[in-house]
Amino acid sequence: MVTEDAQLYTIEGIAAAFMIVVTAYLVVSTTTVLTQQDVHIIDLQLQQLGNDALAMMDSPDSYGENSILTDAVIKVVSSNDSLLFRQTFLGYVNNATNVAVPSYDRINYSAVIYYLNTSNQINQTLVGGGTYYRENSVKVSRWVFLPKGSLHVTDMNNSVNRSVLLEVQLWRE
Amino acid sequence: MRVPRKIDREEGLLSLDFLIGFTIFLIALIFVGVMISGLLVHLQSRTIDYDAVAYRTSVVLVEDPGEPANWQLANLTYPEERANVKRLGLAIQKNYPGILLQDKVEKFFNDTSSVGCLAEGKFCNPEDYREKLIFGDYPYHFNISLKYLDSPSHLFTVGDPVPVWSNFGYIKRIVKIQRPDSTHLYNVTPDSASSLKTASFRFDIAELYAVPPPYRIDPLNQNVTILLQDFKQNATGAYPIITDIQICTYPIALTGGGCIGADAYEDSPRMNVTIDGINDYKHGDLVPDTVTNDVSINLEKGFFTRIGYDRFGTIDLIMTFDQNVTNKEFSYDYSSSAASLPELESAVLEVWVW
Repeated sequence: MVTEDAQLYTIEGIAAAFMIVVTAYLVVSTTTVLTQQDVHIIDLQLQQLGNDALAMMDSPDSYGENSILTDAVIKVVSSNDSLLFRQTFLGYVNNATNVAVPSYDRINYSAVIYYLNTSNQINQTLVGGGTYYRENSVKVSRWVFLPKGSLHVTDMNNSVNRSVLLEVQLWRE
Repeated sequence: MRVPRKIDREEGLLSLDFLIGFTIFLIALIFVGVMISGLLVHLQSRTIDYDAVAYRTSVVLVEDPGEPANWQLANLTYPEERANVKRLGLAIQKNYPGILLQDKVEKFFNDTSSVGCLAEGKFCNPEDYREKLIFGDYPYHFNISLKYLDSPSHLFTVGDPVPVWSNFGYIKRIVKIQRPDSTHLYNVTPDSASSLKTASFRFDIAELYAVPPPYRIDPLNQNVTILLQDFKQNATGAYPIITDIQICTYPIALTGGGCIGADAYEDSPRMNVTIDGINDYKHGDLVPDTVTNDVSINLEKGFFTRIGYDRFGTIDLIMTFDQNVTNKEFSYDYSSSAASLPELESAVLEVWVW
């Protein structure tokens, strides 16, 4: 037999369930968006720092001189000596003014130089650096000018000015 | 009223009123839900906002020369010049992001005061920094610091102490700062070996400006310091006496002799002439300006601009003595003896905003 019992209560239950689902959806979606943007900002800061470091290494201290970056890359490609690049790059990115708290950043890198060899093939040589595992990382790159006559690797044409592509992967340990 | 055992035809049916009301309720609920979502993002994204403001501040500082580009020359005791400074960028030029000008760095960090800033001619902390650098309606707190990498004790900072345990926006930038050229040294020759009573210094601004800005000697915007030394007695035992100092447009014949005297201005930027390291040169007084050892001439930054010269000017600074002091005209340029040329020094700049 049909009675009035439970008729309106069913509709209220559906409405309540609907509200709970909508609220849960809003909360979950809001949290997800925030997480993505936070990661994006940390990436941006690291990328900006890497680009700054390469740009400043590529600015000669005196007019007419080679930049530190050019000298460092020449050392790497001619004698596989990455010490100058490592010391300068890590000195730049890890330094801090220590005004807030005494700190020293823990950024590490691995870098590769790409160049065109005498057979017009793209070759690459490692610049050394740390071992990359699974950290959140970014990549920055810069074209580096090498004047002709510099000591280059044997399969690089030494008789003309040339630019090589330096690609650096950065991460915080 | 319900009657037992009689069928009620309205049982279990929803009225149209209820359907309309429920629809309006649902629509309102969706609106509120959307609005709450927006409110939540705003509230929860405060650190994101701080990071964005910190980044924007660093871009203005590092990649922008400011507005006007030579704001470091502004005399902040004059309200008009203070109001004319719109943006506090430290870059040397917009085409050289990351290369900062030392004069701008020093004025930005050192010429700052919380109380009495207007009378002292300094930037008001924090009002001027918020208005000309941080921007935005919200009164952000900030701390900006800069440290030379080669001399860590060389540290600048401005703003409030950083609240380490609360939310703040942060960014770190690597920069280079141009150290300007040093004093330019010139030597005179004895009276017996000389033929000219005038020591003349040529400033060819266009030639100086042929070098890129980071490595440029810039007499228009930076201090000029000249040391003329090695003065000796002549055959009669008399030391040279300065009779006149003029700054003239070159060539004098074409401009009708556009010259001004060393004492044309009382206030800064002006020319300062010091004899033997202790006596100030004063033109027109009765005391002879005798030089026994050297003469130092300092043109304060902005002096040439004040008297109307620009980057195309050629200027002669002419010192006249009562006896012969040299055989040649001197040139204020990149080959001036013993002057160290402009160089870049690495530094790290950090910005906190909360």
